Amino acid sequence: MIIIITSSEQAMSNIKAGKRFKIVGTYSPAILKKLIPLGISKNTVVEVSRVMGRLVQLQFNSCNICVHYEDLKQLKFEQIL
Amino acid sequence: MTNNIIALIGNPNSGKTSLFNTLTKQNQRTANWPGMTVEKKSGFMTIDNKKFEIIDLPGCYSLNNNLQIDEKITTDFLLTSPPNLIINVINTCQLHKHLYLTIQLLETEIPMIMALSFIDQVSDPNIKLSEISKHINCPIIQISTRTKQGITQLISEIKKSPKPHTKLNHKILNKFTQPVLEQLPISLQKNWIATNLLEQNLNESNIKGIPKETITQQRTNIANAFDEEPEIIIADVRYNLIQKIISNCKANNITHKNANYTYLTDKILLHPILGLPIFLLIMYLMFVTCLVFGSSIQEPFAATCELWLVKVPLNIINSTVTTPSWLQKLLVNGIGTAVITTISFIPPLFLLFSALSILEQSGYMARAAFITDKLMSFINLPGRAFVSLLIGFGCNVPAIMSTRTLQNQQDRTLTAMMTPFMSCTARLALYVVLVQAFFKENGGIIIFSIYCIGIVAALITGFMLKKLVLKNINQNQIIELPEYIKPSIKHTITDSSRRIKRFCERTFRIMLPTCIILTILNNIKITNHYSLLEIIAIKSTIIFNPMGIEQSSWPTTIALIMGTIAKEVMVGVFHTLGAYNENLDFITIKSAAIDSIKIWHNWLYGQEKIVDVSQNLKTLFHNKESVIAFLIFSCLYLPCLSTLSALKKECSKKWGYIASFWSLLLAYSTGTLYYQWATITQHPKKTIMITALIILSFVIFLTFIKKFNKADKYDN
Repeated sequence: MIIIITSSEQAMSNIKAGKRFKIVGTYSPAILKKLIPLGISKNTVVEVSRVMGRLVQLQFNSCNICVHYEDLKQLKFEQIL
Repeated sequence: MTNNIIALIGNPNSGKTSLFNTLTKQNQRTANWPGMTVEKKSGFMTIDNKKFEIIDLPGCYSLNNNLQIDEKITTDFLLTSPPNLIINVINTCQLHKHLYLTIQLLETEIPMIMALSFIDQVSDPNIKLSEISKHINCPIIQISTRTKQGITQLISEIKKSPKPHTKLNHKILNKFTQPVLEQLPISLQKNWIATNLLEQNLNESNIKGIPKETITQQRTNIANAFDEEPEIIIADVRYNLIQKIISNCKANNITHKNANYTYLTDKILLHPILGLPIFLLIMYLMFVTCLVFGSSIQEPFAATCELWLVKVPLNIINSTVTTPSWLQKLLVNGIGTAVITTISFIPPLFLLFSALSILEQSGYMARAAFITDKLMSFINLPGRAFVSLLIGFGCNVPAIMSTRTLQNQQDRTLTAMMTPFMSCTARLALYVVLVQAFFKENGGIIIFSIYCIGIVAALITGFMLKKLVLKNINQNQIIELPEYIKPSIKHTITDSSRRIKRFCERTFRIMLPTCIILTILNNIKITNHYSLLEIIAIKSTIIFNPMGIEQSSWPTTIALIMGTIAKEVMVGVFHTLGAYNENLDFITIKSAAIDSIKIWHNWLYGQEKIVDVSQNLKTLFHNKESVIAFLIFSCLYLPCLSTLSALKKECSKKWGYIASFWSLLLAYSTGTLYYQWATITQHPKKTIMITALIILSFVIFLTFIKKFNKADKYDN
């Protein structure tokens, strides 16, 4: 597993179906606080299933959730190749 | 009131309501999208003569009374009236996510049973429960409400009244929680409250004597010690425990048995380009198929019911007791019409409810929010708002209640204001009756178009309010997508029957007295030809002249007025006043049996009908344009009283008034414009003048709304 550490803005352009990311932190604790009970916390590895308009469908730990693109921008993540 | 209170708590779509129905033998509606249960519901169960009150709380992901309303309801319930026992319902396919709430519930130290649901749907049901027990010291039972597996075991555990479990100790946090805990002026749930105060999960105004300074100090200490926000550190501690549990019980690779099937199906149904057209096509096919087929059965069904439920019983009464003619008319035109009108809608509604239930069970409806998000972005609303609007097609009241799942008040108000334009099943009944009478050939398309007009009106309302009043931009939304599952026939029939029962109950309750009163009023003649009801209605119908409704169509005015009480009444009013039956023919059982066979034989072989229930309606409208104008008006005008009161409750009185005025303006303008432009060749000057007046009314209304915004800045 190769991990590319990216800044949020750069990583956002890589948000495409099939890509995997590891959440490493947040620019906004409020956003992560909202995502924590849904299973997304620090070190969670998520896979992008599809992007549809403003929503990004993420798959992780047998969960399927859709998060708003703007919310996702508030997270720090690393892309996994 | 019982002292044995059991609370069912779990994430949305964990199977709480199904378990609630199983334990209490109730029939509450279940669905696999968040927001189905928006209020706590209670029911009772008795075990060995001991009565237990079961409380079904809204699904929530965590205990936090500062976040969403669902979470607030559950957290406040645990704070203010802690139950004797919690049954934490967990979806076994998503252990990792659901255990987060479990850990928080364990922190409350309230006795708990863990119910691992959907055990019949996991890829590998052999979870090492003993390993979970090592970390979570409470009874753990695997259940399935579909196969009833584990229910007996769960009931016997409830009977044992589990003792409080060992305190869950987050060692790493102890030195930070301890100072807060020591200063808390409460005796119960201290540990949980201290941790939650550090996380800022609890509204401090709810607890008196909060050591605010200590909390701030300890939050700073956590941030300094871990170089991270306290909320994230506390979540990390919980997730580390969850990870340990999952690894030990070998549940790492547990998924839903349909996970692969879901992945492949979503590739088509959630396609970025095809997803929305497929969704609209499915909705169109569902409405057209159910309504066309259902309506074709409706006529013979209503005719048979009229024979057996009105004509035969009255013949029996008439042959045994002499009844005066006014009473006979009251029984036939008042009560009889109300009964027949209501039950004649059972076939199309049953088909529609069944189709909706199948789509809901399959997991497709839960994806509606995701698919329609693009559409909703036009008015800057989250896709989840679409789910509320979709519920509105059933009944507007629960739809407005379900807006509670939206994250901010402005989105909730906006969605609630749009909801009344969604045609509920009561309005559908009116569409079906009128379309059957006037548009035999393309009835499905007409009904679908009326639905679309409602949707467009909702979008215009949303767009206008977003531009002028509710300008806040909100991007926060999270949608959960469940796995696709095979719908159950039993569940479909039960669900549809429950909805039909509610429709009939509500309709009978309102329609019966309305039809009786109208029949009486219509029979009290104050001149040689006219009753008081007719005189008032004829005078009022002038208002609807620009829509092509003439004074002789006065029953339409009564129907519209009565429709503000409940839309279900409208068809009954038509049949009571429009289809007024001067010649009462009562028939014998033998004749009724022969006629019934003839009715169904003729329906089966497409022959001429014996009774045409919609025949008399044809006298009420003079042309098809006026029927469509009336349908448009009925679709858009004032919501029923229950919807208005829900709107006032969820938003405010002011929004109730605005909704009433706006819907009347929109309905009248749209209906009139349609009629005027459809018949422009007959009166071009009048059409242009009316159009100008309507444009002027809109300008005045929009100016008022803008001023309303300035004078009363909406408080989010």
